[in-house]
Amino acid sequence: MRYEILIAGRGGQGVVLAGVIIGYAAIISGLNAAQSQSYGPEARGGKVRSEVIISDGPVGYPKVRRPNLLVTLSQEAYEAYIDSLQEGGILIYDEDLVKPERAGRAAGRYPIPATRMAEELGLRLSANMIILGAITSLSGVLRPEAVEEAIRRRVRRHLEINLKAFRMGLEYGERLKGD
Amino acid sequence: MSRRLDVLTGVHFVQGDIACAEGAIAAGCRFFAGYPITPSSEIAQHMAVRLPQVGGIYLQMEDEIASIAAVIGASWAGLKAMTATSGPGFSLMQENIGYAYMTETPCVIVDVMRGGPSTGQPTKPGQQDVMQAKWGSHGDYEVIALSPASVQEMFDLTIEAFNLSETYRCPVILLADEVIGHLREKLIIPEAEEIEVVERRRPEDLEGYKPFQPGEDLVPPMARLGEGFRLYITGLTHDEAGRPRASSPEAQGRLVRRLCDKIRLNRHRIVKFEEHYLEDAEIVVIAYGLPYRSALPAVEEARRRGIRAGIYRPITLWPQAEERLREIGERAHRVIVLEMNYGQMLREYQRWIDPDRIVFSPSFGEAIPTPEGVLGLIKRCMR
Amino acid sequence: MTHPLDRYLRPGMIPHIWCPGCGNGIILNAFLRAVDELGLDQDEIVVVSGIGCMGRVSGYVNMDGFHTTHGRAIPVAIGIKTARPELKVVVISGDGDLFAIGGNHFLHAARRNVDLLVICANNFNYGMTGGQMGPTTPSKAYTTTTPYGNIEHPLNLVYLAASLGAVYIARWCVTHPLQLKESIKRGLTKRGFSFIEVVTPCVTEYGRRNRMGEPREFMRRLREICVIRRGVDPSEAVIEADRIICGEFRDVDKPEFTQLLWNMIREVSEKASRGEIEVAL
Repeated sequence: MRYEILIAGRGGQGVVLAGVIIGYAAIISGLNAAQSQSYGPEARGGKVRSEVIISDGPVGYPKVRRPNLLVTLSQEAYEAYIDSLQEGGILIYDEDLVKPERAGRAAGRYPIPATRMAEELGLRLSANMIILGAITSLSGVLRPEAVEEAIRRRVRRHLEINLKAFRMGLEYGERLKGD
Repeated sequence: MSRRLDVLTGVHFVQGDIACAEGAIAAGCRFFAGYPITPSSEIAQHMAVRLPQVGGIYLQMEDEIASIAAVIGASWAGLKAMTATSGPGFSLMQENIGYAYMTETPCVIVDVMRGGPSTGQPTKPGQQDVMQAKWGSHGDYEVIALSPASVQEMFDLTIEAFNLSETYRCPVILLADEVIGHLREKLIIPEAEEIEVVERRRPEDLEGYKPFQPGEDLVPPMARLGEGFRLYITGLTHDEAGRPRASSPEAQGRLVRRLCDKIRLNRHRIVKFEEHYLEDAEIVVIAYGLPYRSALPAVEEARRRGIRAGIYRPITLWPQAEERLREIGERAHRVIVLEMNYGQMLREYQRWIDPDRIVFSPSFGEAIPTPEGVLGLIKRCMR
Repeated sequence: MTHPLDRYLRPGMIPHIWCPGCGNGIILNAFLRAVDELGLDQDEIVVVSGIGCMGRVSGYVNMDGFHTTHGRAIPVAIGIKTARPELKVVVISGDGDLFAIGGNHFLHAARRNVDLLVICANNFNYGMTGGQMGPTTPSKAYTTTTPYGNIEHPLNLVYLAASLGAVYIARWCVTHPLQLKESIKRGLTKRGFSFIEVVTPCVTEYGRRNRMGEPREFMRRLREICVIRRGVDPSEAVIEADRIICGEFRDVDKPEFTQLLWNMIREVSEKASRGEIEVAL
């Protein structure tokens, strides 16, 4: 099994941390993972992508080429990566930030108002945890308990709100799957 | 429960740079001097946090020249010492790296390679310093350089680098790259007792000790400053006692031969490589560091398709297993060499393997070789 | 026949390479007498030098001696001093080594206030490599690389050290051997970055090209122009063709780097071993 996840957006959206937590959750689950990120040259607010490969064997090539699951949190990221999605892959996007004009290869397209939901929770920065919940639910490669454990070990500030956001994302994902 | 603070036993998910720093501390490194440079800065930042916790010294110097100079001073003061940098900083260190070879100063230099020349591509990977590692300083010397291909190896090979450095009393270079340095992967840190750590061989007594008088392995035991040995350490050609012999051809010949021979004649103990599917391989891929991770799945896929492909990966880039590479070159129809540069280690392979059988595939910046790309090369070689 | 200072000279290294009439021997003499008079253990002193005539001094002292690459004596000394704070680490080198190629290291060592004594033999040119112009070569002076006279402005080392916050600053000439010795004693006992500049004749290179005369004449000239002033501010320490102000210009105290470093290391390591700070990845 090799499962590739690409999360792309702008600086300050917690894109990198979301990738790190997915990778860490995979390690906790006894799987292998490789996570990396790349930025534009800006210190704040530039393009950011975080990529994670989850594998039950050794992770050979450590970069994502054809993601099984793509998350886009900006229009720019959507345009840049929609065509890389694997045939039958999953697309998750923040519906307030991205207008998906072309369908691409996605078998499932899942809009989620993550930033708005996070603002309603009172912590805009927890949008990445909502996304993380949706990824966990829609990909099905990780157990929610493992991801929660990874959040507990990696998130210091506002842990309870972040966990709440994660569970909200998880439930939202389940509902989207049901629809 | 008392827990070792220097060996953080357990399963972790960390960047290669962090694994490197933890490997250094587990190997007994207690001195780090450096200057920030992408993509190696995480090593310095982690050392700044961790070294004081284990009673070690972290210094941020004014430049890379000062960094390696301070490392050399600290090593003679008795500490295992390290610095970390990338290509441009590695260039600035070169004069003092030569001094460390000349004065037989153990130390570890980590170069997390990026694209060059000059400022080049600070946040993108490269393997453009592999010849700089061998020939970057002036004069005659032999080098030990290691090439990690995973986060786990950033830990393991950093320990190996310290052990080799203390064994042979010379600088040892770890040549990583931006992707491995920044990649997060599983890191398993074993129990402290399971980690082999080599300690510096010290003189048995003060009487008659000569700091550059070698033992049978051509390596002299090393005293430290402040112990009454009244050492004289100089970059001038010197005799076994350390006295300058800047005009004597005999002294120059004796010293240079020994500095080189202690690596050359111990090569069989130093060289490390791994190989897979070579028994009947018609096509052999040679790849080190990051490209190895693209090449191995490609070779495995080729095998599944009935192509007799194999893979050879040098782990020590300096020195390498020349004899083994000659054998491989004689048996294979085609040898594919992958490098993230425009042909550096290639020149070495061309000396050992018939250049007409070599297919060279360079890569630049972020466009690192993919398994599909390597498989395509293998298939093309079959025609 | 033995000299009282013989035990401080490394066997097998004398005769030295310095020219007749060179002042470097006077500086070495003053240093060894200072060590002797203070009763310091010569096995607890490390002499670090760079490249150049004065750079050879680390080989002449019968102590741990470190002859580094050109310009890098200070960062090597910092590595030693931080790793073994109990050792006295003394940097003795020339003006070109310390202030041209090595200038950046002087700047930052002084800024950090690392406990080092730096003694600079200032002979106004690169002697060993054949009398080229250096950072302290006076304007209009002739050297092998300023054949039409020096068009550059020389560095005043005392001004520089003062601006960087060195805690002890002095300038002497080799014509002041007793004052120099006492000043080195002060520098050796001072905690922090101490700097002593010593004006010294380079008869063979600088002197010859600038008509300073034979050794005795050069010394006489230096004795005339090097004037000792007591209790003056570093800003008054002019160095000009016909007047060089010597003396002690600063002797103050401030927190020292090695001590701050080890205080931090001790505090952090103790807290870590007591579990008061988290040690984790």
